[in-house]
Amino acid sequence: MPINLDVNNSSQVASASLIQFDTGVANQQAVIFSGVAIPSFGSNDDSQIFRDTVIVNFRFTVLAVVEETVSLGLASISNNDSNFVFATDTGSLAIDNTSQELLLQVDVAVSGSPSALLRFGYQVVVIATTQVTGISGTIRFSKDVFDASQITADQVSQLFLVSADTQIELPPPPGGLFGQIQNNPVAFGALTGMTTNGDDFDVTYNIPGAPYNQQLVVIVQAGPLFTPSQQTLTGQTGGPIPLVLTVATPSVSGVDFRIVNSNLR
Amino acid sequence: MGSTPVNVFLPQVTRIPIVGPAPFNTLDCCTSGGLTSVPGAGAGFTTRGQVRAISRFVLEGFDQRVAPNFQHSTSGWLAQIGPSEEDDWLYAIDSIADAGFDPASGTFFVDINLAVQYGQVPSQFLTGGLEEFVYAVYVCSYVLVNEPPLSQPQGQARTALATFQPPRGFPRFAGTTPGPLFTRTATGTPIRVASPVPVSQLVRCRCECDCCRKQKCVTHQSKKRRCNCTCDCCRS
Repeated sequence: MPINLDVNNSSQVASASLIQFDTGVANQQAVIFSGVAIPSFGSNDDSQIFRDTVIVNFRFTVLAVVEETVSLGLASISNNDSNFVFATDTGSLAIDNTSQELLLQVDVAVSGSPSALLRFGYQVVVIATTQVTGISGTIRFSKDVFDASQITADQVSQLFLVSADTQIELPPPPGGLFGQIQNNPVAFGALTGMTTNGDDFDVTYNIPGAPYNQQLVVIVQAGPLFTPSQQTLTGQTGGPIPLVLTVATPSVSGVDFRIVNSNLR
Repeated sequence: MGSTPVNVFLPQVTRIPIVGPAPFNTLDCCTSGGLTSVPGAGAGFTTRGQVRAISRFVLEGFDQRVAPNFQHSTSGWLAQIGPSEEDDWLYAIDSIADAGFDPASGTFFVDINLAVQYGQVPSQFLTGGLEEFVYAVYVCSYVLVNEPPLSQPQGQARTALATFQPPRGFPRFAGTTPGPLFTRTATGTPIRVASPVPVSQLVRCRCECDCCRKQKCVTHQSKKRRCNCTCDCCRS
């Protein structure tokens, strides 16, 4: 059973970062992923070696990998007065067949009584064939909800947090009647600008790199600079719910939202 | 017997021209690391702290009046650990806390969150009241920057000494006792650390019973193993 880690979860991958740059070849990007994965893989027996595979989901979609280099190293290990083994044996890249997300697969081994391979560092340099993907739209609110006229261009990015999430329906707890929906953010967006239209403010956003072939919903949350005086409600007014990106349709636009006062007292 | 000429290129900074995204025109790859220590760390307890690894990468065209525009991707690994003898120990790079350019020199640095619990040091590593711990880490950074075209002959780039220093705002550690400053040497001899536990309490039992074999009978270890020895060091 592999140990699955998500770079969007800081308790699974610390200091996850990437930089990407152009190679000069159309539809190709060079991307460098770095981070400290936290498999917390332990052993309570120093008479045998335990092995497993750690899969780190970079949450980055590609069509194909052209070239790649994987570097790994032990970052956090612990032992208590016993024989021990700690190993990151092999590292390789894979592409999720469904979502087209890039995955780092690392075979690890540990032995000890007890021992723990708590963390390992990784650095992956990859040239990949990519496709511009994106979910875009507008978040609209009126001056009655929040007067954003004093917000500068540099501050617009702090008005909202936008993400594309997958959703899992959790069953009701034992004895309970209602389940709940758990959102799992898989791609984060950026606010790209703000315009005014009468008494309305229109904030545009774009979410790049969301996974393919998965049902996604866009979630808009208030950022630190969006401080309305009343409680508000956010509703989606345009675009599909849920939406699905495919290789044939890698972008969806017009996923719009409106924020209104809730008028609940 | 003839010798093969070897060209050594220092410092270890690689500059790769790139075509974008704007405003970046250069990808720099640099490394740093070496022996380090966490203030207050010793045997028997975990201590966390932060160190600053200073690379040899100096941003070309650095201007103190302008904050550098950059993106980085950095990770780290353990390079050397030990020694330890039959004890609990932990060596950890928990995360990369921060990275940036020194505002005075334009030298690229990386702040690293570390944790360590040293093991009991074997007697042969104890010298003059000091314990010889070895704890070395290594980080590698890829940095997107904008640098002006080369203005001097190849191989005469500005250099800086790679080293470890306390990060800004020092101290930012959760140590239990005052400890030594960070090492300022990137390579060299192991770190000599004055133990928070007097050496006289670390290794002194010479019992040959099973629980004390290998001459390793620290009082608390004996208790943990339910040692039934009657010698002075194990009775307390």
